[in-house]
Amino acid sequence: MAAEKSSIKIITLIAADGSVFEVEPNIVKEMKTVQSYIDELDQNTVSIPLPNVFGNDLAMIIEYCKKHASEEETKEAKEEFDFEFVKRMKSDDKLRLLQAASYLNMESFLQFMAKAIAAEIENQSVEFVRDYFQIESDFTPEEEAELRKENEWAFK
Amino acid sequence: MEIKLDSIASTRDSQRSNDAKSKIDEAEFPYFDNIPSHIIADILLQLPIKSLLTCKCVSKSWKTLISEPHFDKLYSDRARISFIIRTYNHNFMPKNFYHLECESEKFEIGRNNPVKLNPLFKLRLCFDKECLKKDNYWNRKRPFIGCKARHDKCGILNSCNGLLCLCHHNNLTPLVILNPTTGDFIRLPEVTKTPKRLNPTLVRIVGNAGFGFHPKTGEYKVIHMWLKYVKGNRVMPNGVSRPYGWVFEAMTLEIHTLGTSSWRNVEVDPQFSIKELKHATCVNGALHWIRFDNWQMSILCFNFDSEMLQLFPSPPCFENNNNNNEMSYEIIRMGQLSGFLYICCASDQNATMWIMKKYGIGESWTNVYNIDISSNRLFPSPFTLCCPLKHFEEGAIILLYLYKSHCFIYYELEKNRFKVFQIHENPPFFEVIPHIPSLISLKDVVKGDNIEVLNIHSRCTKFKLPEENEVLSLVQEFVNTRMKITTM
Repeated sequence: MAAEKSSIKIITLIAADGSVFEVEPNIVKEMKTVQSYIDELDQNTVSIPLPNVFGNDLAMIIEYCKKHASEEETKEAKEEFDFEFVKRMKSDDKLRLLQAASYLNMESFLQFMAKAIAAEIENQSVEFVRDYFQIESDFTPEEEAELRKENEWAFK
Repeated sequence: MEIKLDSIASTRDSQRSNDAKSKIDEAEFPYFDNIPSHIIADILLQLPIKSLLTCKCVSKSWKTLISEPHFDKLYSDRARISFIIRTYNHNFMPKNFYHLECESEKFEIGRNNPVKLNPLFKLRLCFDKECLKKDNYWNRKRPFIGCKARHDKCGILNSCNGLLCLCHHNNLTPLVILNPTTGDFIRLPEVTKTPKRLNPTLVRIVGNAGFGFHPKTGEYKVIHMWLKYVKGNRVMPNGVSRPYGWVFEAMTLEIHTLGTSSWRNVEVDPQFSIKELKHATCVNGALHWIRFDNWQMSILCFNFDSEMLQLFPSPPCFENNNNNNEMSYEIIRMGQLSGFLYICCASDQNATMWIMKKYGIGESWTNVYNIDISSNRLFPSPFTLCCPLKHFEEGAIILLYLYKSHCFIYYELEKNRFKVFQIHENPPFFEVIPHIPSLISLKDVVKGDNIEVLNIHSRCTKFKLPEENEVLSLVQEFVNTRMKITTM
């Protein structure tokens, strides 16, 4: 079984919009959803459709995985990459990537995205957070006023 | 060979049963409904406490998520040390407590944003007549902390698991357990009174206390002590014996379990003298104090399980300081970091920090760092005091510098540089209590239903204190990159 697994050279990932990505096995190690599937196979090549991930997002995730899987890159270079990676994303991108990470079951990338999103909503108003996540308040105005009063110091 | 993969089903799709066929709907994507709550929790766990409280008001499901004891446990485990800060004023007792969250990003060298300190809560004490009426004070057995202006003073004993124990400012009688984050508090039953009719010229009674958690039973406990001193004697050169100084004679110790209605006496016979107990710290189901006795220091420990009061292994710096200098408790500080007991000693030469790596094992006291104070212009006086307060994982520390004006010093150990912050306030003195904020609910903590949980925010909101809306900020004073620090 072990020998058969290592025989897989290239994994083809097919995004929701049909775009195709060919990656090496070490890149998908982080994607537990994909990895667990590969582990059960004994073929030389695998093609995996990922109907819940867009091509653009998958490209970014692969870029991230490549950088972090690389042994040549220094810790500083990876940190620098992470910083730039978050910088070029819009809010929507972050939420989509978060969901993609959740779907692909990528533990550390999920934490990374959670951190990036937390940084955006940190010290923002309730309205901002609702808008960000597109959440409608289900509190009555009285309930909300009461709740705000209870947590008064947080609103200063 | 191509393999069709239908087995990787989306949790999102299975949740949206009415729309199962359209696998991707770009317009709707993303919606909060689509993000599982454990992932929302992952995001919220990253937030500082203030933002977390804001998020509680977003929606019912978010409020429920944040209020769950399981979430609070995960949040507290991250051990975000913050500081409760109270400015110090000789004319009146400041009632505003400020909250400073210590994420290292706030202090990093290279940034120069004033750090805003949030007024966390105000001790609205019950000396307003209307306030008393409103709270139906006359039907109550006891007011909150005090009912007269001269009684409206309180001190902070110690912090444990996100809860603070407030005490009488003078005799340290424990009065209230408070979660400053949520504003919930409970009153403690009255402690046993000191024996009356004692002649104050011959007998002196001093109170002391501590607050802690017993993990084995899941109970919170408060310890209260009365230490009794009698006038000592000194034989003069002419052979006549005269009263001189105070000699420790005995102590009584009582224990209160949160949620019960009384204190229980515990027999202790310390067999050693106690002049002063400071820096109550709860670790490993036991309360610890630094014991000062004339020129000696040691650690005293009360174990909640055995209910014994014992001496505890102390770090080598206690012995080094054992020369003829008068011991001052202000240059030493004890506390806990992620469950480890630590001691910080400071002299006019250096400041050192020690951590007890294996609980109860004296040999495991490890010197974490030494800071050379004598060679730095930042510390111009031999009376400079320096209390390390926090040790960041990233290798930076926060120090509290107590000379002329109090200020915070942020060190980056690896890079040997520091930054000084000062609180803009006149006079610039403040009290700092390391504290790990938590959303822990006092209702869950207390055992027994007859204990009333009150909230500090819902009381007397009509009455504003003069200082109430004051916002303090921590401002960078200067940066120095030539500090000499040896890391062990």
